[in-house]
Amino acid sequence: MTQLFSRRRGQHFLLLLKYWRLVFNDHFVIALFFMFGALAWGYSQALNQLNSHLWWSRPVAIIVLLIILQVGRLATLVKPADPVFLLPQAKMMTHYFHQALHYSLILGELMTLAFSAVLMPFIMATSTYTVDTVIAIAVVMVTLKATEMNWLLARLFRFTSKTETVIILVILPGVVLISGFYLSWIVAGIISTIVMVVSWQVQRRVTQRLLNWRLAVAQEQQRMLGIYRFFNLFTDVPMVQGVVHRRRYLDWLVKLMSQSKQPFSYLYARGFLRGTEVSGLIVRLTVVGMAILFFIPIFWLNLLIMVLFIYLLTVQLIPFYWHFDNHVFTHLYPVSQIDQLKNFQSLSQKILLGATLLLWLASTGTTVNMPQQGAKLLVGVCESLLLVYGYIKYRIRQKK
Amino acid sequence: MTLKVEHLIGGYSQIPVLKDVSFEVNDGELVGLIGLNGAGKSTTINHVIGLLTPFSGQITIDGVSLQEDSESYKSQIAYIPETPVLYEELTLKEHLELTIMAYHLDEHEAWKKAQRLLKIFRLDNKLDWFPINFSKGMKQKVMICSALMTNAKLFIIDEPFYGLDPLAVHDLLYEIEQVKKTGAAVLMSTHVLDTAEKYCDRFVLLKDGQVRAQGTLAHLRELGDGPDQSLDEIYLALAKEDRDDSTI
Repeated sequence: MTQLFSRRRGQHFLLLLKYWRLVFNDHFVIALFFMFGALAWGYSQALNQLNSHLWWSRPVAIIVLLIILQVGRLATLVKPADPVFLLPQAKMMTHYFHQALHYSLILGELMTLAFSAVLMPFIMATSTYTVDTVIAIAVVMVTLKATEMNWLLARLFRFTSKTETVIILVILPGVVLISGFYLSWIVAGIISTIVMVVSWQVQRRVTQRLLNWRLAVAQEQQRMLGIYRFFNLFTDVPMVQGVVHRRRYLDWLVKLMSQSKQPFSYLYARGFLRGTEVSGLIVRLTVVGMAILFFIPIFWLNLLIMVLFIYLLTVQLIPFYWHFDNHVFTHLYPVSQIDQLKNFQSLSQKILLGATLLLWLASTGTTVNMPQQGAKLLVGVCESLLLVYGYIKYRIRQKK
Repeated sequence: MTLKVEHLIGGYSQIPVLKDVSFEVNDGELVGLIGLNGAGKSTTINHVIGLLTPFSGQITIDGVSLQEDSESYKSQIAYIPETPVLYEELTLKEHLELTIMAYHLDEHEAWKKAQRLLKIFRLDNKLDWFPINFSKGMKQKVMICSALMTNAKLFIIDEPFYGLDPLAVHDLLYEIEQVKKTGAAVLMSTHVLDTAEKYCDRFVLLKDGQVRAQGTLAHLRELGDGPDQSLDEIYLALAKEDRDDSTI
């Protein structure tokens, strides 16, 4: 039993490793290189224009730090079958969960520090802080994260209300950070340290009680689903089964996307808009692309990234062709595969042109340059059409 | 309208599950496909609906095989699977609309049929539901409605009674009688023998991927021990013979 957690952790690492290898494939590394380059460049440019007299810099810093604190959850690695198989081990589980806490704490603190470090240049540029203050901020962040982790673990052993969740995750760190920025970082550091010690004491006592298995399993599954979703952006993850929503408000779009009297078009349009997997992916990728394009004023780089994003969207869209393949009726309907391909191309064309339009609008940035925008639109539309009628067809034929 | 299965050898991998299966289903006929678990009932059905390709032998509907003209072959068939399969993203109403589209049905006429079936199976107030909200029995009823609303000439029904309430079983059997009257052929696999005995016109008994016996109940009785035997008894005799074989 004492080795259960370390064994699970080993398995978990192997799983992550397997997926990380798939994430960092050649295409993605190149895309990542551009994206980070663009972001870092934009960030450093933006910092030059800042000074210490901006009223909004401190509220923005507080909000970003609060968001950073939400990254990194309690990883318990419990599995749905555990409540059944480990039922007689209820007492031993306290030890297991303490190991889980240590593991999550280390990872959580590292992430908190890393993300906070990214924000530090902004805080330095908009204030008169010295290095001492920066260290104090880091200490506050670390103690706040530890408090949060203690509470997250204690929550599995007692009942908590929604209000309490908001207090611990938002209001408490919010108050501490506000007092740091507007009052004194020494005061903030003292408050957060005291709270952390108290939370640790409470956690030690509470974890002797009975475990709320259902919550523990549900929470861990939610967390794993988040991880799988992330990996699913880059590769197929079998564990991710999309959730389906009715989305009545999108019915007009369903109509727009499906051709009349075409069974596959009917299926694809509804599957795309009501499923969460593919449509979510396309929407997220488009939004990220828009954000990046908005901040890049250099014409050729902007164009290159737009072309890249349209290609990435196409690559993500292609597997949807086979979305209904494991459904027996898809094979039974008297419909030819040529029609299926045509219907899919029609849907892809609508999606890609829509996304291209959005990317193009965002790429305008803050100043409009008509000839450049015209060129970008032309390139984007041509690329979309080429991908739909050349590349998609080629990839689908190839797989058959 | 005739389904003809001739010398069918087939299965999922290289090893054949079906070894030389031949039978016919003629128009206006309900044929019961019976046999123990693993006898090859579902494999036979998968071959007929075209999910599997025969190693050798032929399956034709009115002389046309799937390989010759897949669209016309498929448009003749309506299938009710053993486990209901529905599209998660579609509502009940949209499943029926999809069926209308896929089978090129006349919209007005098909909806009239559908309304009647939905009422019989008490689904008429659930048109906007998603499959996830249906129970197993309701899902099965959706499959039945969308199969029966087509103008198919051959109905393939795989073990339809599980999960259905007694009223629905009764209604389904009545509806099968009705499609038979319109000249359609029905092939139904089942383990519910007393029902099969009452409703099926002929039987195909599969055993180890081969047709052990086929014909009307009277004919099967002749093969068995006596004229008063029920299908259940004939079937049990067959099963026992099977066990005796394996002990030798």
